Amino acid sequence: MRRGLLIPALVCLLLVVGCGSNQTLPSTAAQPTSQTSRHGLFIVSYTPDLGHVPLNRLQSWTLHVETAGGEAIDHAKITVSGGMPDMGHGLPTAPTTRYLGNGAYSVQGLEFTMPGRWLVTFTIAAAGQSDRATFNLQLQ
Amino acid sequence: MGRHGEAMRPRWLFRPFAGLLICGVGVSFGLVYVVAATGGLAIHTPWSKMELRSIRSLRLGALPAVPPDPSNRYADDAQAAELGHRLFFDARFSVDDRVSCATCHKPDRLFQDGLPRARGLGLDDRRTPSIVGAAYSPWLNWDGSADTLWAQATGPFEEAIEMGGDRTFAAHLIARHYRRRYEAVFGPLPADLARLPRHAGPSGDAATRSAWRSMSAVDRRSVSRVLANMGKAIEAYERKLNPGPALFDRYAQAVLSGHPGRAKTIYSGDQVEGLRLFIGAAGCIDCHNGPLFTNEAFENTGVPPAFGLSPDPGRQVGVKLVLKDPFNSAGSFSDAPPGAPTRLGTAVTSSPSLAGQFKTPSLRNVADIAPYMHAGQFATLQQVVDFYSRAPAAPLGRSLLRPLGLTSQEKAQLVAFLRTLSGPLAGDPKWLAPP
Repeated sequence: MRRGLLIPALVCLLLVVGCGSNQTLPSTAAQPTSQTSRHGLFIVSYTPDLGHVPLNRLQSWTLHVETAGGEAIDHAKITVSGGMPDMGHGLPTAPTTRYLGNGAYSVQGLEFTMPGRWLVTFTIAAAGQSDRATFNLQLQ
Repeated sequence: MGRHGEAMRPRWLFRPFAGLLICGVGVSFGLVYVVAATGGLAIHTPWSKMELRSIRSLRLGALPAVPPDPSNRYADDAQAAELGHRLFFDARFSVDDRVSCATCHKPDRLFQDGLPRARGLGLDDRRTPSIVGAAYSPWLNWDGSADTLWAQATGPFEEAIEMGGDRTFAAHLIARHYRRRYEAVFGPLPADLARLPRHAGPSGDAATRSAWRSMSAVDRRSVSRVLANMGKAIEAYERKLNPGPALFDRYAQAVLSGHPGRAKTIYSGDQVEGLRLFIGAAGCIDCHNGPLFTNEAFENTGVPPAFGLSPDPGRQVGVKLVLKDPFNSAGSFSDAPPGAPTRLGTAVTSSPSLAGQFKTPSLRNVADIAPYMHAGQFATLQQVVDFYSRAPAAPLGRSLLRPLGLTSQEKAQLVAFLRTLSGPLAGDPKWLAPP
């Protein structure tokens, strides 16, 4: 395209795109539900007991914790924190965890009260070591 | 003009007709978008998939049946609802025969009172909250100081600035005026109630509290049980008070069933664009989500204190009150199985973020229940929207709002949309009037 065409066309394109910027919508891509903890001590994964993560509903997840070698971590002390970094607030509830056996833990009392990006951090202490895994959720 | 004068102007400013043509087309599209977005034309930008999803989530049709309340085994008992209906309107339970639940929750005002701050026997620090759809709320009152509808209903009977009664006073009145109806639902009233003090209770003036302490533990408990049951009957009644379809629901139905032509006859351009802002750029849906337009959560939006009052700590105090409330869902008057999980067990109890938080209210019928906020700080919806657009710093804690910088037209569009959330209450009309 000649320069004489290019710049006004780009300006107009920006104008049109700019007008539509309010319509930008959050990503709907599925977020990972399994990860290695921050310092590599644990492989942490979760499964929502409802099969999905709904808004405004008290829910529980099943968390599984194992070593990088696949060995189940039993009787860990797990605390849950998190929130919406973009909104500057924490979790609306204080979830609790209960050991189920074979590296599995029930995380009870989770609730997500807004659409948008949430972080849920599990701080896991076992055998004298501690590490954390933070999951990113994009809820609609 | 630049320091090199006209000679340095880019040549493309003068030459390319083709470029201007493209520009003209682009500007035209932009203008159509802008004009349509501002509601000036009846050209409605089609809803995106995400927007349709949001609209679907807000429809009243998406509201499930009233959820069970395991803490109240009489919650869906027809006779309990009839009794609760009577108690709700009975002013004899106030010490001066003047105040009933309906004094503040007026049936002809959508069970609110139109006042900035509730007025029973005295003036409250907060506005009368809605009880329409309250059966869906896991937390009651602006600060969530009750976690069941029946526990909430017991509060005003003993509150000095509401009805000003006390526990034995209420039990004596039940025995005198409602014995048959009460016993048909809850079984026999405590024996020999007449021997108990006329006025006694754990709160109230010194004489009332002293009389309460003089009673045996068994008597205190059986009298407390009467008040808990009164609350349970009132809950059974209040579960009948739910919102009905509004213009928004008709619009949503038309849009979602693929009738854009019909939708355009229901909503004006401003209402459409107000809805678009609500579920999009203005972010109202972040908290006002679901069919009742509330996430039922506690948020700090930096609302200023009411004139003459200090900043209200809200949830920070409310959570302490609900934890020590003997009528909470985990208490011995609850019908929930001992140890059953409750929301109380997962409540955030000590966090700096609780300061200044209040429960997100439903926006169903919002245009008809002015004034707004927890102490009626704003008289009109325009003031509310303007406040949220400015998003000033919170007087206590930290506001979650960010300034929106809405234009006056956008604010008017949001208000136009909010006015479409009004509709008649659902259900049998007999519940909407005194018995």
